[in-house]
Amino acid sequence: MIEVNTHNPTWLEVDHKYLPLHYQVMQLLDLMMSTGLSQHKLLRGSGLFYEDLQRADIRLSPAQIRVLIQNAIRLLPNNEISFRWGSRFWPGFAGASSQALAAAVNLNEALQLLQQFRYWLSPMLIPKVYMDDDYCYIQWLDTFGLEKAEREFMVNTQMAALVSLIESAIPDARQHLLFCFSAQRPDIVAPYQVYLGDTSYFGMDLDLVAVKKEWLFTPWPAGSERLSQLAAKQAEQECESFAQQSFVEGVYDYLWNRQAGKTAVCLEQTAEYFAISSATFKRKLKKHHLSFQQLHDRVRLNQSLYLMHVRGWTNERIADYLHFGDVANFRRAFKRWTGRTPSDSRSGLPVKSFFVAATQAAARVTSNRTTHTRHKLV
Amino acid sequence: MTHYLLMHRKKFFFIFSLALLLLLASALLGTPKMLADVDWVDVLGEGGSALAIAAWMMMILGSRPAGRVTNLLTLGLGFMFLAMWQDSLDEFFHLSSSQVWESWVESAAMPLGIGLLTYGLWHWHQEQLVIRSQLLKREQCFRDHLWLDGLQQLGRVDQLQVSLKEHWHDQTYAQTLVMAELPGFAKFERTHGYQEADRLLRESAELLMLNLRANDLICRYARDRLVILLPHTQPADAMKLAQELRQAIAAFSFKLFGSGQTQPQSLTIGVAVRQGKDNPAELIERAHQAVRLAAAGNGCSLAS
Repeated sequence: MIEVNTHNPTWLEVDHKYLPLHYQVMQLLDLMMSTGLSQHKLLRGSGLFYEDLQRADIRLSPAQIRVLIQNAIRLLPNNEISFRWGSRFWPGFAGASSQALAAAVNLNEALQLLQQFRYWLSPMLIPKVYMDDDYCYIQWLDTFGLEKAEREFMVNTQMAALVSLIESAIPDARQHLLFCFSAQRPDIVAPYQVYLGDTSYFGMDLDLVAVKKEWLFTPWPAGSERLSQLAAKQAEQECESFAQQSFVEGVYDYLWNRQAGKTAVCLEQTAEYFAISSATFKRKLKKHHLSFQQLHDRVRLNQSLYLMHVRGWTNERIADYLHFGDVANFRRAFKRWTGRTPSDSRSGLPVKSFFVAATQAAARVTSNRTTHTRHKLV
Repeated sequence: MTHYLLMHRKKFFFIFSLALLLLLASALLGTPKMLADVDWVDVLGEGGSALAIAAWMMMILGSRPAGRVTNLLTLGLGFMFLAMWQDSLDEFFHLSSSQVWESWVESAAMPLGIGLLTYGLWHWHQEQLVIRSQLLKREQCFRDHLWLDGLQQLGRVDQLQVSLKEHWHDQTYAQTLVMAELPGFAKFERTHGYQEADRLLRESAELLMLNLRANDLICRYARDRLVILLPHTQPADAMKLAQELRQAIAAFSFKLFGSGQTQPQSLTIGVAVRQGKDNPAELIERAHQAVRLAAAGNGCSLAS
């Protein structure tokens, strides 16, 4: 008996023109123009024209935004433009959802809004938020098939955006945040130091921000519960005529939840769940530069990292849960995905060691103001 | 380029109306030659030269602000162009020897043009020397516009790294490195907007540059942070210079656009001193830690 998804018949896809130009993209264009680039160069290939920038009714597809990001990478290499964009990303101009975000009473509420309105506030990389007893983890997930360089650019933007949002409420909040980048350490770390602080780790298995859980509820002085709830209601109305989820995220979530099932999941079954033929299903994924196998691997990697680091499961239990048959198979697959073994990953993710060290360092500074011990970073 | 060309439209109008006038005069006062009599090699040589000179004139005007040097260069090239133009018109029209103006245009315009151009180039040379001395602090021995940062017109941190690597064997050259930032810049950006923040960065960078010595190298690090290499400088002198820079920024009354309201600024500075086994990246990292300490402390710190 195959269940069929009937809740959400339509999906956001990479070529759907749904995102108003002025929400985030106009800021990127403004930044690029302020460096003296000519408009036709920065708009090249995007299907946008200079006249369009004056119009209020222009909506862009994620594919068009990808082209603009490619142009930014090509025309301003080695530049900090991704961070500069990020520092003005939120609350931003995404209608009522931005207003709700501006009135958030604490980080916890802000993260809920960012998740609920992710396709409006954070369309290119959506946040997936996980919690364990002590920490909150925000993972940036690409659901529109970004290429490596584009994803790295957007990760910088989202990280800077989060820091800028939190620091507009609480100065120097960055010392409570930890950043993991899947990208390798770049030659020039200057923008990471200046925009994010000293706690960036590179060459990790995923793009992630970690924060202590208790810190989610530190009140934000400018927040107003009533305002943000009203704005959130209005934002719900604003986007109700659009699909609420991207196709790739829909499949991602389905696969994530299906792992708990008794048998391994396959393509035909998934296509049937989405009520489309296998051929259409494959074609839709291909449009996002993905195959079923790639997406399935990505889900299993992220899920094993989650189970390993957040839930603290053993390799045996994970291998069993993800239908690997035995631990050796799981280890081999994990090595193929990340280039390291599960045990390397266990000791490699610096979250817990970092927060322990930071707490100790903070204690030292308070007890003796003249000692300036600092955790070795980046 | 178009912006500059529009600014100089009167000069163009003047030169090209003269050219048109010469064409009319030759056509009205002279008699057209038979096509068989036209020496096409001459036409190609003289006409081609005239066109080339006109193109040079456009290029110079397209890249220069108005001023005496520009006027001299334009007039020089303009007269040379008119002389060549008349020369090539001669190939098509026969003018009797009673037309004195024609020989005047042909023989006097060229030396006059060359004279003006030479005089103009001499002034241009002087101008370049001044500009060169102004640019010296920003670029030292580099002249590669790819290094330049679009925001502040300074070199980027890559330039500093190259410069450090090149001189690393010289212990005293790369002895002290200064890193500076504007505390509260992020708040300024949120309160007053990004355009004003960008202008603040540009103007404070200019101000710091005025307070540096001729061979100091100033580069943009990221956002509001600058890094300054002080060649052959003792830590004590670097601290003194750092204090001077802080005073300069403290005395800087940045005016907001529109309201004209003054926004006082301050500067946080960290000075790093090179240690025996450091490499360039470690010296930069040391400066980064110094500026963080300075931000937490009294605004100026020395890390050795």
